Amino acid sequence: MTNQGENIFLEVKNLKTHFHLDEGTVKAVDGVSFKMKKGKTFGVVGESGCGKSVTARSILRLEEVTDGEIILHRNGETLDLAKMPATSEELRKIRGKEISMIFQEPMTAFSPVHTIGSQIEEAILLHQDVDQEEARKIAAEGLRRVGIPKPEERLDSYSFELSGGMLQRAMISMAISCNPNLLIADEPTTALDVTIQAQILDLLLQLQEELGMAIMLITHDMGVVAEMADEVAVMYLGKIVELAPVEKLFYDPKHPYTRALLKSIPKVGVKANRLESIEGMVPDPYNLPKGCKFHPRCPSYIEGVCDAAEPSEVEIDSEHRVSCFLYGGR
Amino acid sequence: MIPLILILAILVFIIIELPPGDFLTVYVEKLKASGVMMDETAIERLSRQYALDKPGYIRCYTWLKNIITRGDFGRSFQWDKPVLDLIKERLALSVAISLFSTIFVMTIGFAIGVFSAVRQYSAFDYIFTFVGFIGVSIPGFLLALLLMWFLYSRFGIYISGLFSPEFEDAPWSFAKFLDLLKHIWLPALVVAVSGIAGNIRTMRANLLDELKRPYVMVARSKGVAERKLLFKYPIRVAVSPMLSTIGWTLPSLFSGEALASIVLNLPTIGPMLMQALMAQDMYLAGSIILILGSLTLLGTLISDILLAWADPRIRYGESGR
Ligand SMILES: Nc1ncnc2c1ncn2[C@@H]1O[C@H](COP(=O)(O)OP(=O)(O)OP(=O)(O)O)[C@@H](O)[C@H]1O
Ligand SMILES: [Mg+2]
Repeated sequence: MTNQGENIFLEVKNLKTHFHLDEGTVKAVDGVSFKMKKGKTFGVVGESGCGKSVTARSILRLEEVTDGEIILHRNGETLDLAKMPATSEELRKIRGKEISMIFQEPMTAFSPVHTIGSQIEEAILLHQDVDQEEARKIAAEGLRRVGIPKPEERLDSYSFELSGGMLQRAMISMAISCNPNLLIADEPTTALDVTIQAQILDLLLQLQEELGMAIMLITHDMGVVAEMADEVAVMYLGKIVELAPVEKLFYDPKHPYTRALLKSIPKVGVKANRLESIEGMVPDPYNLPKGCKFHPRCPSYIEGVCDAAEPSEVEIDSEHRVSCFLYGGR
Repeated sequence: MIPLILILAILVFIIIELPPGDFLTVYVEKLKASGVMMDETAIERLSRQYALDKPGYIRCYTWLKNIITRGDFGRSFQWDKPVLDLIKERLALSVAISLFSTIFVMTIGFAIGVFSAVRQYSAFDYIFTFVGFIGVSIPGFLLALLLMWFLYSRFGIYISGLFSPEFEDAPWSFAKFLDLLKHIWLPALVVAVSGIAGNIRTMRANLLDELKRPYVMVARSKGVAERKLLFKYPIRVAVSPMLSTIGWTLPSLFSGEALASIVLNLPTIGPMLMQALMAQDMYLAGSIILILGSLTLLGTLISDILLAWADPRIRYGESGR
């Protein structure tokens, strides 16, 4: 399958990020591949600890990548971010400008001894040709855009003076301050109430339309995925077990894990909650099961097959793939 | 601040008065021991002259009153001179040594601590962690002795005093000042060693903590250059605890300075305080302790101001919600 004609911005190939700790090796991301298209939203879902955040941070090379390629397409050229030294200028120019990230923990994402404003202005000054004063104006405008009241005053606040929801919005405005080509949003609305969440998601969609921005949206909230995403990857223990366009994933899920995830969504009219209702526990990352890592929790477990080897990826069709022995892959 | 110094003064006076006997009894004993007898009237006259016959609180009141109204710290029994004249120069030298020590503690401790944290588990880190342990545990005076012995036996250099012989008794001049600078760094370093070692450890531990914080990664994700990022964020946050230690390292610097000065034969306030205490030369001893104590309070005040300046969480009286 070639990507010609498709509007690919970033392509991740067989990305692996392992952590070597005293207790053993955590294969937080263990060979994931996906593509993100300009102007489209790529959703990533999965239970806590499956490696969503590590995948996101690895793309920006904020974690030490063990293996794989991270290919950025720019004017017909390709650049492999995985090959660049983590502190190189080349990479620094991409960070915050072409690819920026909304981090999961808004409370600790800001330095406690610098004002919110100075931290937002820093990003603007780094990537835009403006002076301090203009940067401040842009930063204030950014805060207004995410619905923060009295933005000029808030610029001079410290992180400990703001609520979690406020900080999350400040974080979002910082990430979009330089109009990135790809916005990685790691649970961007967890600290927000429903109305503000809707506003923020609308804002992101609007930016996406105006700038053709690609969004990588990491979330627990299947409702948000259904609303926002064009394509969805389902992760389980460091691997993508299923990847499909959003309608296909919701109406024709293949992997038993995806089905379980979807079943755990409360019925119509009730807001989707955290994914807690799947049977069994996520295995200990130091002590993973043999074979398919989902087999101990899988309702369709085939003895002697699923616990013997890992399934390889099977293409259901050109845009839908799944790693499960139910569909071949032996 | 002012009330604190007053309380300090009264405490100092009480402590000075605590040992049994006073200067005269010690003096008379000494004379007796060397075979000289003093007649009662002479002793009484002396006693009146120094107000030793009055109750303690009156003496304390007079002493304090004279300090506040006339800047008169009283007379030394031993030297029969005004205290202030005796201690002025020595005090200045002591303060100079302590100041240099503080600078060493701050800069060297800071630099090595930062480097150790940034290059955690490197050879540099291991070496200085080890050196740091030794530095914390070795007393300054012992280090001074070892250094003296080492420099003398190896290089024939005899380090002692704060001035070259030709300047020893010379009046103050720019040349003498330069000569002082040439000598002062060694005692200052000796006094600073344990502080430096302590600071290396504090700085290293704090910075290692801060480096793991998400805001560091967020800054990196914005494209901030690594070195700039390091100084602007985690180091900036990690120095706060170091600043807060300035205040309470001062007393230990003063006492370290006293011991090192005795060993290195430096004309500073430390040895004089020792002598005054042993001879129960109460106004001299009391004044020295009072001044050192006040300087320590001042140091604490400065370190609090610095801390508030560096850390908005303290400025706003906020301990994180
Ligand atoms: N710096 C690190 N050092 C060691 N292990 C780590 C590190 N960061 C993450 N991990 C481990 O990697 C695995 C994946 O973590 P990750 O944060 O990506 O999960 P997640 O999918 O984002 O979960 P959540 O939904 O809770 O945010 C977890 O087992 C986690 O403990
Ligand atoms: Mg996460």
